[in-house]
Amino acid sequence: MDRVKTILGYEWRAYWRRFSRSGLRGGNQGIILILTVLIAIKYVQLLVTASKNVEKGNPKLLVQLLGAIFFVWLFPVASSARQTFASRKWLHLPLSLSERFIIRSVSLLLPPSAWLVILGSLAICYPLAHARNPFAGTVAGLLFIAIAWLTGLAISRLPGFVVWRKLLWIAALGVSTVAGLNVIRIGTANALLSLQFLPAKLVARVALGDAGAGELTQWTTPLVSLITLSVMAVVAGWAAWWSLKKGLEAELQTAHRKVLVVSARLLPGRLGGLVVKDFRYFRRLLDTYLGLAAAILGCVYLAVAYVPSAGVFWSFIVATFLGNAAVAFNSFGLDDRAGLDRYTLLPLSGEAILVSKNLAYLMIVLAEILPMLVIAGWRLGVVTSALGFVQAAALAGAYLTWGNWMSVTHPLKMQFFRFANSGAALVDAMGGILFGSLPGIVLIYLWQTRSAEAVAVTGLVLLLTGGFYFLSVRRFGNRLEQNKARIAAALS
Amino acid sequence: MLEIETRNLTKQFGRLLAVNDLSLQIAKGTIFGFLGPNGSGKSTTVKMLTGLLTPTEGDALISGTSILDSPLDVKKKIGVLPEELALFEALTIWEHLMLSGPVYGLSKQETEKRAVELLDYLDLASSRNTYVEQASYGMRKKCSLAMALLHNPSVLFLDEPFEGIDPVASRNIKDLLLLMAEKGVTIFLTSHILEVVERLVTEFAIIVAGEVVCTQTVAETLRSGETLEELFFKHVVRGKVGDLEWIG
Repeated sequence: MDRVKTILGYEWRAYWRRFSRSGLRGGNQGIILILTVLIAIKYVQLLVTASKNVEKGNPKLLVQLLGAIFFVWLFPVASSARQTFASRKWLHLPLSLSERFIIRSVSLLLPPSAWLVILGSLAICYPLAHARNPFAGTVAGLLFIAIAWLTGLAISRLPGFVVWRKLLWIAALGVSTVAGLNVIRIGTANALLSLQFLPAKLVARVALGDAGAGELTQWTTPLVSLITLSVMAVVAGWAAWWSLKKGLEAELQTAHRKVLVVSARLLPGRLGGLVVKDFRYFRRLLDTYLGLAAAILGCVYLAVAYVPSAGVFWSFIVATFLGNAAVAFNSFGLDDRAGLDRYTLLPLSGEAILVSKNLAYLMIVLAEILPMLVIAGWRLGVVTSALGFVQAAALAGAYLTWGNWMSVTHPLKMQFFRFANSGAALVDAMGGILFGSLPGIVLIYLWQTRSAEAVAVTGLVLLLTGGFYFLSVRRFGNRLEQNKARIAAALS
Repeated sequence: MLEIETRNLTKQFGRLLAVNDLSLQIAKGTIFGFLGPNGSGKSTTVKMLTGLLTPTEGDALISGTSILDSPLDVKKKIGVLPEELALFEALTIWEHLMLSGPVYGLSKQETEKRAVELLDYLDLASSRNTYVEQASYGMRKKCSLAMALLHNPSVLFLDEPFEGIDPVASRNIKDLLLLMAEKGVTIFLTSHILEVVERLVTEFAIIVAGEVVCTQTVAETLRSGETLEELFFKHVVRGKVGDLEWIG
C-alpha cells in the first residue's frame, strides 16, 4: 500500500504542476466560479424539491437526478487526458493488478472537477434520507454511485478494443434510432420524461418501497432491488477490473486501415496527407460521435416523421455542429510534442497547417450531415436541403473562426477514445458555441419567418462568416508560427 | 562554398545558457560531426538550425538563406532526423512518407517510387504497414530518416542517426551518407559513437557546456597521432565517481 501511496502522491504533485504550468489559473476563473455556484444553487433547489416529492411518495425527480448523476460520473473518466502509472507504459513497474486498479481509480479523482462530482453525488443522500426507508435508500444510493463510477471505468477502456468499439457504436446507433423514433412518437419533452433508467429506478424502489414497483409486493421490493443493485455493483466492478486487465495485456488496437487508404486516394494536393491524418485523429475523439448521434436522430426524424418540418431539420444541423465543437475548438489537442515538431519541420506556414486541420473538421461534419441533406432533399425538397447546406457553410465558418483562435491560444491535451477535456477553457468554449451556433439560429429564424430581406441577410451572414474565417486563418496562422513551442508544451 | 554558416548562435533557457556564441562554417559536400557529452548543446543547436527552436541571439545561413528571415525556404532545402523523431503515432510508416512527399512538392507517383526504394534500402519494406505506435524504436528511426531523405535535400541534419539502428541498416546508412556527400549534399550529424564518427566524417567540432572547444578535420586529428576518443576526453573531463558498493 505504501507503493500506491507514493505513486499517488507523485501523481497529485504532477497534476498540480501541470495545472500551474499550463497557466490555467489565469483567465475565466471568476466566470467558472459564478457558473459553478449558479449550477450548485439550482441543484440544491432540485434536491429540496426531490426530497419533498419523495416524502409524498413521488420518486420521478429523484430518478431523473440519479440518471443525471450516472452520466456525469462518466465524464471524469471518459474525459481524462493523462495516462496514469496504471497504463501499459508503466507495465515494467512491480505493481500488482489490484495496485494498478487503485492507482487508476484514485488518480482520476485528482482534478477539482471530480471532487464536485463526488460532492454532488453524495448530496443525493439528502432526498434519500427523507424517504420511507432512509437507511436502505442511502445504502442503495451509495451502491448506485459505485456502479456509476465503476461503469465509467469499464466503458472508458472498452473503446481501446476494436470489437468493443464496434459493439459500442452499434449500441449508440441503436439507442439514437430508438430515441429518434420515440421523440417523433411522443414528443421531445415526453420522451425525456419517459426515460426510466433501471439502476436509478431500483434506488427509488429501495427508498420508497413500492414506487413504480408494479406487481412486486411492498416488503419484497426494497430487498430484491437492493440485492439487484449489489449484483450490478459487483458486475460493474468486475467489468472495470477486467477492462483494466485486458487493456494492460493487449496491444493498443488501432482503427481499421482501410478507411485511411480509401480517403488518402480521394485527397490530392499538398495538404492531402495531413488532412487524412487529422480526419483519422478526429474520428477517434468521442465528441464527434455526439455529432453523429445528432445527425442520426435528424435522419430518423426526416425519414419517419409524417410531415417533417424544415425548422426541425435545420435545428438538427445546428445540433450536429454542436456535437463536433471540441474538434473545431481544440484542433491540436490530439497531437503531441512529436507531432508538433513534425509540423514545424515541414515547410508549411501556420496558415497551411490551420487550413489542413479545418479541412479535416469539414470532412467529419460533412460526412455526418450529408445523409441528412439527401433525405431532406427527398422529404422537404431541394430548396430546403440547399438552404441546409448554406446554413452548414455559415456554421462551419463561425465555428472555425472561433476554433482557430481557441486552438492556437488555449491548446489542451486530449486522448483518443475519450471525450474532450474542456479544462479552464470552458467559458471560452461556451462563448464559442454561442458564436458558432448564432448564424445557424439567425438563418432558421429568418427562413421560418419568410421575411422579405431573407436573401440579402442570408448573403450577409455568409459573407460575414466567410470573412471572419479567412481573417482567423491569417491572424491565427501567424500566431501559430510564433506559439508552436508553447502549444507543444501544453500537449506534452 | 559555405552551405552551413552559424553566426554567434546563442540559446538561453531562463538562466541556463544552452548554446553560447556558436560560429561554424561548413562547406558544401562535407560530412560534419558535432560531438559532445549529454546536455552539452548538440541537439539544441540542431533544433535551432532546423527551426524547432528560435535562437536567443545570432543567426545561421543554410545554403545562403537565413533561418530567421526565410524559415520556410530553409525547410524546403533541408532534411531532418530530429532527436525525438517527430512522427504521428496513428499513421503507418508508409503513410508518413506519402504524407511528406507532396508537402515538399513531389507528385504522388514520384513519392511512391522514392518511398518504395527508400524502404527497401532501409530494410523497412516488410514493415511499411506497421503503425508508428506499434513500431520498434529502430523502425521509427528509419521511418524518420526516410522522411528526411525523401525530397532529396541539399543539407541533411541527423541527430544521433545510428542510435538504436541494427548493424545492417547502420552500414547501409553510412554508405548512403558517403554517396550523398560525394554528390554534394552537406551532412551535419551528432553522435556519441566516436568510432563511427571517426570513420565517416570529414570535419568535426566538440561542444562542451554550450561552447565549442575544438574544431578540426579528421585528417588533422590523424596527423597529430591522436584518436578522436583521446581528443574527446582531452576536452570532456570525466568527473570522479564512487564505486557503488551496494551493487551486486
